[in-house]
Amino acid sequence: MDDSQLTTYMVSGNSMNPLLCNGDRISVLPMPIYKVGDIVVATHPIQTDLIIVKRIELITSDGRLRLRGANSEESTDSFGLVSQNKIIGKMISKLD
Amino acid sequence: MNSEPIAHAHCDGPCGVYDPAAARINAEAVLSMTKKLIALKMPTSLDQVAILTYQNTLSRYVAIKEEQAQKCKDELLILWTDYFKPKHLEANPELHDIFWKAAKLCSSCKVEVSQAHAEELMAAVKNIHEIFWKSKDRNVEWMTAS
Repeated sequence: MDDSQLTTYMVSGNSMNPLLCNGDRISVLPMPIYKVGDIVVATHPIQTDLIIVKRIELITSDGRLRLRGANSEESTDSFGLVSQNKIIGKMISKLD
Repeated sequence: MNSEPIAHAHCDGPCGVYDPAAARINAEAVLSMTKKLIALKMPTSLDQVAILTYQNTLSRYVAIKEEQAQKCKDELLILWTDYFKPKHLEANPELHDIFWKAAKLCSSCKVEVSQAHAEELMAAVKNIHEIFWKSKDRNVEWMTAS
């Protein structure tokens, strides 16, 4: 693992409850490939200045991803499919 | 003070940009490839170049049909699960059945080379187009690229 690419993010919001809570700190690392179920940090496809943390719900046959929060009460819509180049990295660990 | 970057986990930050036109373009491509496959003539000789050309063209048509049918299904599922809300179901009680059948047609169009099912898929997407725009109180004309 190339630790030089490891970045720490602070989570804001509750759409990833109970996996992640508001204020949690997570380590994120870019990966060559991603799979369904990965928790990833990504650039929002429309609001490009917004960094989001979501789980990969679906990967289409042409490699696009559907991201969704873990908490269905707080995460009811999606923004459609996003391309892999929007993904900054996968959550490797939650920091204490 | 913490200087770590923030990763937002509020709602999904929906852009609100939904349009059945994406599914329509995919469905049109499925119909087009189906027609091309049906019209494709097998080589009448054992000429290697002719056979290779035929197989290459056939493979490309099949691959595009497969890909576009899957994209069509993806786009329909996004509309179904993300755009449409319970209030829309009240206005269109048959909504789930319409989307379920449309998604099934996408699968049929992958499995088969059926112009009838490809045309049914186009009709299903047109129906969804009309329901979608009516739900937004807008009158958007149905038009096709081909």
